[in-house]
Amino acid sequence: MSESDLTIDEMHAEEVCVVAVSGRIDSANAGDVKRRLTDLLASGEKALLVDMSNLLYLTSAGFRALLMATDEAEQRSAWFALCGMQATVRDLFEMGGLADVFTIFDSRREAVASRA
Amino acid sequence: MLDLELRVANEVAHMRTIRVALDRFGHEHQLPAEVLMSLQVAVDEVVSNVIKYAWTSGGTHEVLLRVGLRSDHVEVEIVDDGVPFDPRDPPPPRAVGLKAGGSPIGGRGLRLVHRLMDEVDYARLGNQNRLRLRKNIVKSVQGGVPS
Repeated sequence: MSESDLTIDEMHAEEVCVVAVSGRIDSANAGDVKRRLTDLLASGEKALLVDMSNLLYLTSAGFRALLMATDEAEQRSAWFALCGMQATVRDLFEMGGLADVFTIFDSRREAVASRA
Repeated sequence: MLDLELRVANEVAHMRTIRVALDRFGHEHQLPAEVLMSLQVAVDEVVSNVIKYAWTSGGTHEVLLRVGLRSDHVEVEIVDDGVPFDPRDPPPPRAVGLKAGGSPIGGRGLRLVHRLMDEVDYARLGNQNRLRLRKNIVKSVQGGVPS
């Protein structure tokens, strides 16, 4: 497991704003994730996709941040989805009983194509 | 059991200190990635709950974390002198979502700890909560944990 903390990068793929989270999301940095996602929604983004391809794990603080972003997206009538989970990350969603709570795609390509 | 002992004040900012120390422990002992990840997720949940809820009147307090490696498992002990809290029986999950009221995670954090750990034990000793987590190290077909 690398020493890396968390990095958050954003880019646009067609009309979707892709937020790539790398490293780990835990109680020390989940607030940064929540803030970045809610700021993007507040700035008018109508489709947010969180790409977890390079995420090692997330703790319940991370789940909480994603749930709050989901709620914010719903209030703003925006689309919000997750993609690219590694098997270990997907296992955490399933263990937490949260796999059905989010819109989840296997890949970024599939997620963006679903908006076409 | 004393391979790592860490004392941190009850501030969320110290969660990073714990993460870094656990990573170092994992690397030094060449723990399998899955074991280290499970420990990170469980310890983050437990200690952040202690920091948030253990001291209702505020003030500066200390959380003690002890981690020990045994031949086939890792043991973690978390000690605080906050209000009694027994996490052995997690509350039934509530509906997820802010509209459900209360915590958006619906009590799932503690369930996650139980799913990730092989044992979750608790004792109230004097004015202290002592939570013990055990994670078994499952050896691979190739001969297990590198040494």
